[in-house]
Amino acid sequence: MTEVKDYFGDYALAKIPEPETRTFLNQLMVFMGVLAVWAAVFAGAALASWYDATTLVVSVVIGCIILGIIAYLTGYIGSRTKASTYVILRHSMGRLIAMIAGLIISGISAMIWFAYETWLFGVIMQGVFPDIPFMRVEVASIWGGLLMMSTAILGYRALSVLSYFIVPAWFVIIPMALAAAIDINGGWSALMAAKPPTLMDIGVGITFTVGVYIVGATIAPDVTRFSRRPHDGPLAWFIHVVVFMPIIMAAGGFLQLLTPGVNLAAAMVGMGMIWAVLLTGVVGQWSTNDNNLYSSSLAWCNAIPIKRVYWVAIMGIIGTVIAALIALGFGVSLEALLLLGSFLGTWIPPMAAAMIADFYVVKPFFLGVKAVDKRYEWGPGTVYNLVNWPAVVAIIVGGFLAWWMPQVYPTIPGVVIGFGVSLILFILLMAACVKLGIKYGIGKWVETEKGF
Amino acid sequence: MSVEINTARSLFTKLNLVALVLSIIILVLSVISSPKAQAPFSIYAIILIIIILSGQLRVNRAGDLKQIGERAVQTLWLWTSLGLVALTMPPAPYFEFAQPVMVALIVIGAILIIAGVYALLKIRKLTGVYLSV
Repeated sequence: MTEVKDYFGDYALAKIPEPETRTFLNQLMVFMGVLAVWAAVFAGAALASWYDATTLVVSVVIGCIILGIIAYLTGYIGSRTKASTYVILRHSMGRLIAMIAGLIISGISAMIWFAYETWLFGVIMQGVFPDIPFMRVEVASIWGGLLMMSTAILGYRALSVLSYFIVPAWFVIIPMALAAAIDINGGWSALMAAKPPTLMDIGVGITFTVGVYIVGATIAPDVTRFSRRPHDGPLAWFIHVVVFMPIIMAAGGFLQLLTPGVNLAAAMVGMGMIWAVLLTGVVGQWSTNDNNLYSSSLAWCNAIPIKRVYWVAIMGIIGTVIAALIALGFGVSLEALLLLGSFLGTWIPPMAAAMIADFYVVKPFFLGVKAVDKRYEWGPGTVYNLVNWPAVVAIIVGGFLAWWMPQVYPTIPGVVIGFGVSLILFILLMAACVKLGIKYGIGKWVETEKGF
Repeated sequence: MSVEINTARSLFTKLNLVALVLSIIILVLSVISSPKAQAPFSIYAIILIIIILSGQLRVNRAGDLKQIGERAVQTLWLWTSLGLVALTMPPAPYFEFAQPVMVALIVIGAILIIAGVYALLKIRKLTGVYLSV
């Protein structure tokens, strides 16, 4: 195995060299930069229609712990192999399926979320400055989209610098604003007494929380591959989701409980915190959305070998155009877009399950590769299977259940079922193949000197 | 090398001290302000003070130029970013700041950001570490 030249840029298909690795704080800031977005606050608000304050916090914390464990496992693979999520998938799924899976996980899904967040950015801008033409939804969507593309084009360094700049302020401003909003809406006693009309089972809230950020947990290696020490990145992911995500979701949920129909951004505007809303809206949205585009470009590089910056530009322009078209109402349905994003999202936890099962169970216990550093060796000349059929079967079965079950049994946590079924099925199929001598890999792919 | 180490450490210490003084002023101003501003801005000032002091401790303990640079850049980013809070939050009528106090807080926020960015660029030049450390 030889060292591969960084042909595609920002080590899209190359190992991160030691001088380019980053500290624990860097990883924490980048992850929190992804979380620092109004959509996370709005997600918390959705829970308020189901729970009182205490149950809301408990369901969010349990959901976040589940997410933290999943991301610790995926993130650790990234920090050990110094590879992006999509390169890691080559081992468990085969080279061809890794291309397709990468596009489902990030190539297309992340671009859809980029478009959605860009449109939402325009909505926030117009909400704060309704009389300025430059801040109209369609106009702000365009300049916002271009702004977010800029750091994604520059790469991981720019993502880090932006996160360092906004994250500490964001996570002080939002709790301050929340405390103020609670104070003017009756205080903590009113919050503790507030109850929604009908209470939902706590499992639904846990599943909802897991569903909100499971994609982030799956693609954690895109960032943790820069981790200096193996546990820095995974630990940073765990801490950011277990400590900070509950604060953000509670911020949205608490206010919704006190004043149904009023979101925190609107409450902040009402309290005169215009500049804070603008800052948290513009830069917060930016630090999240550039990560979407960054991951999307990494996934596309793994599927079609052109330089990463071109993929950022292509996906960024498509996403921005979609956002502007939604704003203008020109035939692009936001509902259809989100439906597609959610549908693709149901297939992502089973992929994470296959990745985790392969690295932590199949490789060491069935294939005898005990040494962690040897489990996923990669680089020019590495031979991969084209398709690993047990992974394909496990993902299809798990993904189908994750999509179908909530439609028939709304209280059953589809995402968790999909993850669990795929994990177990993949392990069973691989165990059967190894024990019975059945070939589990179809075809061969030799990695080129460019890492493709 | 030891000259560079001393220069970097000295520059960081000076600017960190400026930030510490400004944070203490924020704490004092928040304590004498309206009850609505007291708790949130006092907590904010205390967070700033803890970051500044722990950052100073870490830089003092750093052994080589790279370590000094990394620890200094991390601390500087944290208080530079937190300067945004003093810049954007005090104008909100909710906090009922007196006009001079509000202006003072905004100026302090602006100084924290400008001094922080200056220090980041200088430390980067002196130590050669990335701003995205």
